[in-house]
Amino acid sequence: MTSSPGTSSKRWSTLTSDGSAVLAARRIAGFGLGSSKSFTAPATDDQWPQLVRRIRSQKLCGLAAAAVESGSLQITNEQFAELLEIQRWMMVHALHVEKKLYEIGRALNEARIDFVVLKGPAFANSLYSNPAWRPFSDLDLMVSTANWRGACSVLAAEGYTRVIPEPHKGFDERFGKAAAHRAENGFEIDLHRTLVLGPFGLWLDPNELLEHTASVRIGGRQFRRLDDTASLINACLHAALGARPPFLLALRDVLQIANSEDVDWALLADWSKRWRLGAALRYAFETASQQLEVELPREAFAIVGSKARRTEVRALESYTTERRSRGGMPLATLKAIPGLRAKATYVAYLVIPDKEFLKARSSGKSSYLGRWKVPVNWALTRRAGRTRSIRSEAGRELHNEIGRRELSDMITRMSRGSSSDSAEGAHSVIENWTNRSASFWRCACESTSLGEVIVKTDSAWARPDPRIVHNRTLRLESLLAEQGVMEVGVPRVLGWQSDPPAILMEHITGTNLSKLVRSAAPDDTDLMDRLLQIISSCGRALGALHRHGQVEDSAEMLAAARMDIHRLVRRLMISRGKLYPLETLTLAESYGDFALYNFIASPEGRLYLIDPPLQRTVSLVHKDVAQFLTEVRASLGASAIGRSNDMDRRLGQLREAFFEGYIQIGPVDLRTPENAWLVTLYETHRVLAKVAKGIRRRKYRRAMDYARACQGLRLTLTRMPTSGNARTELSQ
Amino acid sequence: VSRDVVFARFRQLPQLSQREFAGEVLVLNPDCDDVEHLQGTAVHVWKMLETPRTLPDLVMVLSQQYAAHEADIGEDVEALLDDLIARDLVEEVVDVDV
Repeated sequence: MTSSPGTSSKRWSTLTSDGSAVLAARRIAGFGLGSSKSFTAPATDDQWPQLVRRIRSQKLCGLAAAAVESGSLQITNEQFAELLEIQRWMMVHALHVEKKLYEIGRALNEARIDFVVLKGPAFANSLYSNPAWRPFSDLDLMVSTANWRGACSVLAAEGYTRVIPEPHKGFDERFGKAAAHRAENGFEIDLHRTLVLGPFGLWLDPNELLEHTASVRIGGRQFRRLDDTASLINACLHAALGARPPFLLALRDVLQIANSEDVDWALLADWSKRWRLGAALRYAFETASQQLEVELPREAFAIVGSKARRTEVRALESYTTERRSRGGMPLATLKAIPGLRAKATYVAYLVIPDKEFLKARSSGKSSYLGRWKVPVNWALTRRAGRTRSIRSEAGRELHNEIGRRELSDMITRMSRGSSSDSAEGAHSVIENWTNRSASFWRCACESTSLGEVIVKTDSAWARPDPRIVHNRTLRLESLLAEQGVMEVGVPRVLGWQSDPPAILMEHITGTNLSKLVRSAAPDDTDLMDRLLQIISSCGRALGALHRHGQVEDSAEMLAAARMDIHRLVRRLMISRGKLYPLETLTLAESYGDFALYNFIASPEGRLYLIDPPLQRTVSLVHKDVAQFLTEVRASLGASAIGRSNDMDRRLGQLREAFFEGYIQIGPVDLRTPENAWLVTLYETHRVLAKVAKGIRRRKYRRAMDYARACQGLRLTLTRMPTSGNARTELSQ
Repeated sequence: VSRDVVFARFRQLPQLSQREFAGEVLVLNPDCDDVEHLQGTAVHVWKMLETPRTLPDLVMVLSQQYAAHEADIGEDVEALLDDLIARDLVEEVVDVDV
């Protein structure tokens, strides 16, 4: 085994705040690699679960346990016990993987098929100072293309079944990377022919790579692995191209191997140039160094500093940007395949694959039409993406303006206006993102009083707006508390500045409600029960806002509201004979954007309402209700429920839950026929407008979600009871 | 302690997969399905068995480490060794010179 570099230089005293679950995880991943960054804030009960989730998902338990043992990471005994429990579980699994390696290794040897062990078992047992630092859950083996079929046969004879069949006979040897083989007990072996799928896998020469191997002792047996230089290529490609964003353990692998004395950097540079891996290697090194806050070895500087070719950069973007989900990889692969005939073959194999492949890929339903829809959707989303990027230009300018300044100074300055919290000290940007007009930076503060914070700016804001946002947020918070809606809160605004306009907010960890509804499945009754409670709370919150902001009868406003309703009725071609008398209309201050996407559900079960309206507008309360229900419809339409026969029933339940919550506090009883009818009227209008907007902007998938969700709406309107009966009810 | 046990030397089986962390060891013999979990004194004994050791060797080293009389811990160490052998983790070294 090689020794671990610089095992004593990294120290931090305690965990930081929630935010720093992300930062803490990164530093755990870099443990023993020589960073001097220190932590100062204590770990609290509500921060630990986030960190432990991250440690588990990123497989960092071994490194975390080692950091605790060395005194670098200080946690309570109970927390350490929890950590060790995860570590034991992962190590037991790793030992069983090694056992499978003995078995399958013996079978391959008997068949005289040379193979090398990739990643987990090889790295853990040869490149880490302690194999317990490097958990793994599956087995990756690599064989030469010539041995590919033979190795597949051996696995089949050992009881392993290929998970996804080959798209077409001969595809694997020409364009494939690996095939997963699964045993009856669920254990999987990834049999590789090359290291990575797509252009980089095609550019590199796996046969040359297989000439560079070393020995690794796993348990009592010797196996072949890629030598340190080839392993570094493997680790870099896995970190850069394997997942988006990269796994911390994969980044750790990069730095762990890069610090090995046996890496032949000249050979690496040669491969990088010949195999067009420069962009991918540079991305892996830079990301690993940046995320784990560990300096690269000097020898890596030449690769990081080299200029990658345009084709490599474009190919890399197909893995690391949103193009990945829009067919970027197959397109990049197509470009990388040499020769028109081969390109045509690749396309033909993918467009008209074997039935067995189709069946496996589409969960038992083999439909060519369904498969062809995929590239069509890619094309549409790519086009929509381009439109969006043009629209967000103003936001991007502001984003750049703020990005150029020192964010830390900005946070410190803004937080000085806050009476209770100070964000002085260093800050690390965990992520940043933009939408059409706004930009967000999620930062971790090393201050003891603030954890993770969000800096938000919006090109739509005029200069004084950040202060208004601050005031509105405070007002919203007190209003909800006054009305007894304790289950809904508002993220605290910690400060603001006018130039450039920005606010500093508390970061809330949780799931966007829109996303939560979209994730609902027809058979997930637990989630549905939770959603019913959440939607009811949303109803209570809106009811409270309307109760507080109710406007006393204003003849002018009522007349305007009636005209609005009549206009809608004409547009929706509902006969006037079916109209209710509009005598009991209720007006209130509108939230404007009261929708699922403006709610965050925290893991503790609390809801947070974001984006309070900047301007005071008064409208019919039914409009806000309809706005919310429309988004519920769209999100449900986008979920698996939307494609099932359960849509109407589930929607009815959620609608009912919202009404129930609303009428507990709100100024009107939404269940009366008149109010329910008005809500439906505005819902219908809103859904149709959204469908039209989606089509106009070529966001066809979104338009389909709304279209799917509007089933039954017009039906409800036209089937309303006749006005005579309704009049009677209302007059009573 | 019989003469056989006094002179017999024991060691870890060579084909084992194992992990050591936080003062504990997990061991799997690939010919078995169970992962064995060693903690505390068992880990000390286990680490000593990386090279062949006799029972008196083990007892002597442990008695020094834990400041205990050899007579007090001899039986416990022998029981532990028996247990490790029964679990297919430790074997007796067959050495014609002894």
